Amino acid sequence: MVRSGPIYIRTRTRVISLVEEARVTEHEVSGLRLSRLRPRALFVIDEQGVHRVRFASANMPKLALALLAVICAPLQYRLFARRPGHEQ
Amino acid sequence: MNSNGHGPDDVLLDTELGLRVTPAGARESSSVAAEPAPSPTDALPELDAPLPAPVTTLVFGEPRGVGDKTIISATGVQTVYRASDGAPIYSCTTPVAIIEVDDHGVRIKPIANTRLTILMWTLTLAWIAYWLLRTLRARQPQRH
Repeated sequence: MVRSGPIYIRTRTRVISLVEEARVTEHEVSGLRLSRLRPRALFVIDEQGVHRVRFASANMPKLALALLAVICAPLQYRLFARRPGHEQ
Repeated sequence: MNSNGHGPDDVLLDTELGLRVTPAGARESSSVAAEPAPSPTDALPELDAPLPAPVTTLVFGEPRGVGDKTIISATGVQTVYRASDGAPIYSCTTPVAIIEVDDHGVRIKPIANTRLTILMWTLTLAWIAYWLLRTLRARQPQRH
């Protein structure tokens, strides 16, 4: 986890300080090293105090919906298929 | 070109992580010469300990003033490099979000990965279609 120094952003009426937080992950496999840097959060410092705002993934709700559909798809076969063992 | 054979001359190496760091001013890759926007930030105060600024500058862009708003880009960076000498082999960046700062506060607008979304829904629909067809075939009366 790395954080930047404060960034002062001046709007028309006030000054907001931001501190950026990024996550660094490194994996090493057979002589190759994979480094991933991702933004993780933003600390917003203004007259109301300090707030930590997380970076929500835009793909995550869609991925969850697709995962639910994938899990539920075989259920229709179990519910509606006419299998020989179940018929008289 | 730098000594590695690729990239501009002003590409630096972050000794802490062994990553290539492009200075913020040289990050613009547009072929059209852009007007230098007035920086909405003040100078940083003096700090006792050096911060790992190069790493965060890889992820977060320079603040840009657009109208009444200030916009900062946030990207994910993946780099593959040789563990022996630290030479980078492959690197790609993915836009993650846009940080918008104005008088009303700070907003983070996530950017959806369209390619991943299309791939995900194609595979999901194919999976649903497979089970639907299998169900329909199982419901048909068997011919003897």
